[in-house]
Amino acid sequence: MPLTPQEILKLSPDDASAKAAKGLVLPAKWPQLHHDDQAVWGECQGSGSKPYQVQVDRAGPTFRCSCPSRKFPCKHGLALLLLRAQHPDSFSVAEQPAWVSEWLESRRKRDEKQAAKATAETPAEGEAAATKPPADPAAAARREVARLKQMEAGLAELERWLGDRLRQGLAQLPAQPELWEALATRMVDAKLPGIAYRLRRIGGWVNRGEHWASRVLGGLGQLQILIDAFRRLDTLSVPVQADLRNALGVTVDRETVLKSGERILDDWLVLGQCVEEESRLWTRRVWLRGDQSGRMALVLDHAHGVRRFEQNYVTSTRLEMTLAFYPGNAPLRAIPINESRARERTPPANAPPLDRALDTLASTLAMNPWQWPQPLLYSGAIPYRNGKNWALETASRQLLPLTASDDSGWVLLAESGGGPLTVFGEWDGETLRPLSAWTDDLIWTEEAQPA
Amino acid sequence: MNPLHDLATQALLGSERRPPVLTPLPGAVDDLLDAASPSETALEIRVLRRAGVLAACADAGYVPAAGGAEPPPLCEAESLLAATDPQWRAALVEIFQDGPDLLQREALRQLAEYGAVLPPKILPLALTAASKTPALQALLRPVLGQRGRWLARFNPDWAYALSGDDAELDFSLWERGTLEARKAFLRQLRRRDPAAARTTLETALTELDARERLTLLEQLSVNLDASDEDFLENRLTDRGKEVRGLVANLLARLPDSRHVARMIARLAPCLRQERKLLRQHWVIEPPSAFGADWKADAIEETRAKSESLGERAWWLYQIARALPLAWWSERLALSPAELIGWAKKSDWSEALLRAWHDALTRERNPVWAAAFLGETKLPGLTVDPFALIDHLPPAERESYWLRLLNKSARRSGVGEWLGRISQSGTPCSAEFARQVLQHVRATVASDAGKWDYSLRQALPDFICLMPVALLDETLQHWPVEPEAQYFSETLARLIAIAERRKTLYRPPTSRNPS
Repeated sequence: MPLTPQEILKLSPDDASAKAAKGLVLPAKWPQLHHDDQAVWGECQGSGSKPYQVQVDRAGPTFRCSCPSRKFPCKHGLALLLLRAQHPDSFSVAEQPAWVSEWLESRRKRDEKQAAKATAETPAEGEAAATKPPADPAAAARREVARLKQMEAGLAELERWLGDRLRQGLAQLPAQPELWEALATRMVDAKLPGIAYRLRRIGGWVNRGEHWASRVLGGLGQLQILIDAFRRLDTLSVPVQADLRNALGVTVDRETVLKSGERILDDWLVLGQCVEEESRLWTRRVWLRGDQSGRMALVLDHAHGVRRFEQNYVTSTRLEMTLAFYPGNAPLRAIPINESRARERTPPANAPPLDRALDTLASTLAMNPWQWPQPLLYSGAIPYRNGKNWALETASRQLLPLTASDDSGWVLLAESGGGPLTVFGEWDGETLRPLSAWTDDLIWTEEAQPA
Repeated sequence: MNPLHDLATQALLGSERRPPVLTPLPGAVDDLLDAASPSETALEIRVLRRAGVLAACADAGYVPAAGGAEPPPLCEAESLLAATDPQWRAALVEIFQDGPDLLQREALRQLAEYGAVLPPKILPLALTAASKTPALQALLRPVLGQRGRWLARFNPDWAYALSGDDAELDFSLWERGTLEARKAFLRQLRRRDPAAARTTLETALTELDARERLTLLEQLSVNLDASDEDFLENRLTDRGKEVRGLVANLLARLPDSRHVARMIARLAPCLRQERKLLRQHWVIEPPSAFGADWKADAIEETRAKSESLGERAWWLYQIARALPLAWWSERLALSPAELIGWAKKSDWSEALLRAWHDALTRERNPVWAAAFLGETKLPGLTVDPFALIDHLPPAERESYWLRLLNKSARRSGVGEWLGRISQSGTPCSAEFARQVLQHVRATVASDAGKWDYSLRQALPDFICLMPVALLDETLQHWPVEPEAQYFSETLARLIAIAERRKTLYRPPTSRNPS
């Protein structure tokens, strides 16, 4: 299923790359343009004497280019796909040259290796033990104890701080904006990045909206509950402990998840995705839903300094692959174990009505109240302009407020024609940030936020 | 009351000043909180635990608000074809995000030609584009379809889409609107009912300042005819000088008007025939004194300081410019070219040439335009050759443009030259397009092309004016020489525009099942 030019440009890391790529859609600049079932490749005349070697693995798609750009995918890779979409006559079928076949081969091998490592648990462990310097279990335990001590001290400080807020009264908060960042920094030092993240979020609610004090108090109250839970960590079930660790910001490493995480092979539909940037840290959330399992999954990736994500996802495509889930009481975050080749375009089947979607959300939150945002997929959503804001309404007039730009709102309204859409988005407890929408087909995905 | 709101209100003041009172909550939540907070627990911690539990409950038990207003009515089914096939849709997105204007117009015209309507996705883009460029509105209306008209109802900026030419005019725009809105109102009314528009303006005249009078009177140029004469005659003595000039010019557009007759009567005595070398020659001599009744016809006695004409020449010019061009040909029995030749030899050449050029701008007479273009030098007059060429029938314009191009012989002005041609919006012939692009290619390969930014701006428009059949031939095999690397981005844009244009000439189909 070929991608449209607009879908290709959505893979671009920024507007500048998209614009530069459009400027390279010029067959005359490409002395070589070839393709086969697996890949598309070509040579692009750059400013140097030697042309760049540009290649795209159709699965994914995944890009590689010999240019020195740190952007990923670079303008050449995007331009190559745009050329393929807009000037198919300029391409000829050819045998893969070595620089293409070797790359594809190395990717395939790496995939196999990862899958093998993940499946064969015991030998893999043996292998790891053989390659890595032997870990000193006693040292690891000492480190763990030290870390727990630090966290304990940090949480004690947090508890005092919370008490102070209550004694002085929430009405003081609008005059003390610096409080939040100061404590958040100390929480990071105390190995509690999860608490720091929550504090900054709650700080952002102060003085916003009519019921800000309830929101803030609720948020502070949940911090108290995290403190309470940490002090009784040992009495909690293993999955709840995992959720709690995650909420505090203790990460489970990738290898452990690949090795021992719950594994589900399914046809995963890409429901939606978004990328956010904060002080040069890019976070990408890709939301998936399993056809047979009915499970939701979140593939979370970070990129520092440069927005670079190895694997690309196209919304509303179905991928046959195995996911390994992070531990938890309502597991959501997952890592794809192998890359999938199947690329079928399809809308989500049997999206529930809003009532049922909210019921599911309630049981998920009952199992793990710490995960935000939550995925929300439902059918029967009619876009609706509510004064200056956008909302989705059901036939029985239930209103869900949206966090959406005006441009998005108008396209959703235009596509709906007043009829129901199936919508997927991220729910933050108060508003839905829509990421994709369908009628019979995918009709809209969120535009990248201007940087 | 929401128990969390209640708790938050109590927590505002601070427990030091006013300790919150924890009233029992209904149901299992209270049991849970009791179990979690034994009696020795500090009050602050109790409050926090209660808030944390209530917040978690509120998250899990979220109930959407009941919608206040009626949901939007369902849009009626479309009877026309929506151009939703992927190629058309992709092309339309690009066209309405990226332009150029000419391509947007062509896209709307082509859709109408195929009896198709815009796909829903494009509607917000197109409606917004046309709200900023009113010239698109008439083209957009026929291709909005049911969905477009339905959508336009929700955005006041798009109201124009609903008020077709037959829709009721909103009189409140005239009574309370801005000058711009009043102008648009008057223009529309003038198109439908010229007399009503005139009367409307007449009633309001006393409350208008000079700028408003000028702007609104100008709208009478739409459907101007003899029935406007009496009204305009009365305005010839307007307090505003510019307004008087405008009114005189409007009256000059009515060749049978009393104003024109009076001007002819003033000019006729200035002309006489003299015998010279056995042949009759026409001689013109400006009036020697300012007539008592001239002021009533908006003739100004004194010149502006910057005026290059002398006093008598200034009077002659003002009288002469009010006369229809045909009058001169008839009275002197000379062709336009002969008249220009005659004027150039006269002592009063500047006054005459300027007067005729003014009249030409008013009448858009192609024979006179050609006559002016035939002259290399016109004393005291700077003409814009592109404006003159625009008075010619489209088929005749190209040869004049090429002449201008060859005349300049420099490569540096090509961008500006092409920009003016694109501005005229005249579709061009294959032969002309070939010659232009050949010239452009030579320019691009030269140093002059590198610095000619206007060329890179003018080319996209020009691509929109070329015959579609020629696009492949001229663009596909354009080499990208190493020295012309700077141009490759422009070339890519031109090729992209060409591809979009080619799509516009393939009949659209409804969405392919994917």
